[in-house]
Amino acid sequence: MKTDWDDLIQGYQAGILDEKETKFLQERLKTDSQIRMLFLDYANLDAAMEVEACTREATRTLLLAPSEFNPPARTRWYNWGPAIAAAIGVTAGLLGASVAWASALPWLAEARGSITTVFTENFDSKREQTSPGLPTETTRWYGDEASTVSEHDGLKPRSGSRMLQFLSATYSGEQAQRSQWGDVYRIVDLRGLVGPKRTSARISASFAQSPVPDNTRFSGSVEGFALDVDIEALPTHPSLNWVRQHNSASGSRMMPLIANRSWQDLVVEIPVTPKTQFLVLHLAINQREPNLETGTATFSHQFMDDVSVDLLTPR
Amino acid sequence: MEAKSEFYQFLTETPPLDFPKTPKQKSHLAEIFRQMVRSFGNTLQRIMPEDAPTRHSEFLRYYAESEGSLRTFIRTMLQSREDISEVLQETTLFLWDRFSEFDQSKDFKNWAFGVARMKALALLRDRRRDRHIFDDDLVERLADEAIGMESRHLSHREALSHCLEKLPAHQREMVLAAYTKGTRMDDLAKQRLQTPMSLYKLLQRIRFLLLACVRQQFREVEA
Repeated sequence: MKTDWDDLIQGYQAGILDEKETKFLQERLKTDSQIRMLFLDYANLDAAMEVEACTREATRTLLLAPSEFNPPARTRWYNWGPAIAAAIGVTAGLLGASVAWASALPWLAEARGSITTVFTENFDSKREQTSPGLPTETTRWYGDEASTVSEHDGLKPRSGSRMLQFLSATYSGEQAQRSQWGDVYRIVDLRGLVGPKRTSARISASFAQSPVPDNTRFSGSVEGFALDVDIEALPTHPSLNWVRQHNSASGSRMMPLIANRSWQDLVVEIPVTPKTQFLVLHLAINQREPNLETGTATFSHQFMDDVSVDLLTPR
Repeated sequence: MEAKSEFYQFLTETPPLDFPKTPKQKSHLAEIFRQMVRSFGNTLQRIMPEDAPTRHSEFLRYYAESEGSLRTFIRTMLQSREDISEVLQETTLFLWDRFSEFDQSKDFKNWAFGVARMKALALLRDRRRDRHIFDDDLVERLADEAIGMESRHLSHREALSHCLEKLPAHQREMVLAAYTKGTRMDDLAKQRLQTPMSLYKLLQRIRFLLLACVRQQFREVEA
């Protein structure tokens, strides 16, 4: 067992201590203010290093290619999102500008790269209900109860003639005691699709909500996990915890849903490599208010459409 | 609404950066924005919320002043970068959602810390099932003490650039690469022809040196 305090603290913050070491460190932290200060100093150093690394990487990227700025003639509309958001940051003032400075950089890199669409879904091809649980194959949607519908409650699909309606925060057979999340999942097969260049997978989805009672609030979320494991290594019945523990990269975004029947877009990017075998998509809505002490939420006003995955590779 | 979600995204994902300082950086940034305004002027007007200039600028001002401390505060309670990112994002969403109700005579940072604490503790309750994590009493105590050490930690953060420059170049590049978003430790270890464990040990040593350096700088400033 480690006994050096620097080792133990860094080990805990990296999540690699065993139970005995964790308890040992915990007891010492409870009684020794100097060790607590060391712990907090390391936490601060770690947070500051992320900022420092990002700052330097951003500056280097910009200085390396100052004359190459040349937006492509054909680019999907959402590729410009960060740039537009960046510009809004600038109009907000100096503090916004410092954020925009960073946000423009991925956009610059992207503007010089390629986009390959590897998955699209507008739920038009057939009437479909989710299969229970997490995905065990790549051809259908899994998760909590949800079903495709056509125009519903005055809301038209984002594209095509059908969209997915969330129905419940559980599925038959799950026996959840408490859940406010309606989750759906899909596995996308990336085998052989990712080249050796630095590549990221961009997952996008659109959410909409028809009017809901005043005392309720919902949000939509997109989460993606890159799995480097072979298909044989996938468990027969995977769980979200298993995916969270075995992914090689992940990312998520969440936003409040506005109940005015307008479509809201969520985009998340995660790094992938030639070793990435599969991408697990986790798309969800969350009943944020009222908070349920017990039981599972049901939904009728929340919808999703136009899910896609693109591989973005800088030139 | 896509701009709003991207707004959340860059707020929560992008650490605060220095405004461009050199003439070259300034000129390049100016060119970027000239291009954007030419291409997207109409779009920008259409997607700007009606009260955007006031609300965004107020929120940004408060958020930017608190962000560094908020990151440290959350790091104090959580282990993985994914969890920290999740809590930071949820906290930001909550603050933005309720910003119209925020009493501006109160301390925004205290409010932000309170929200982050609640979100982090809720996440820890989930994580505790499958990870070795401190109990809530200790986590709360560390969070309380982190608030009291804000000025110390601000000094440490300010000293970090200087301390990084004191490292040998190859160590500095390596530790910065390790902290760069999207870097995978196993890939970095392979690139360096190292095992992940030997890379971890090296990073541990560099962090030890960096902490010693920023603490020394802080003592000199205090003295």
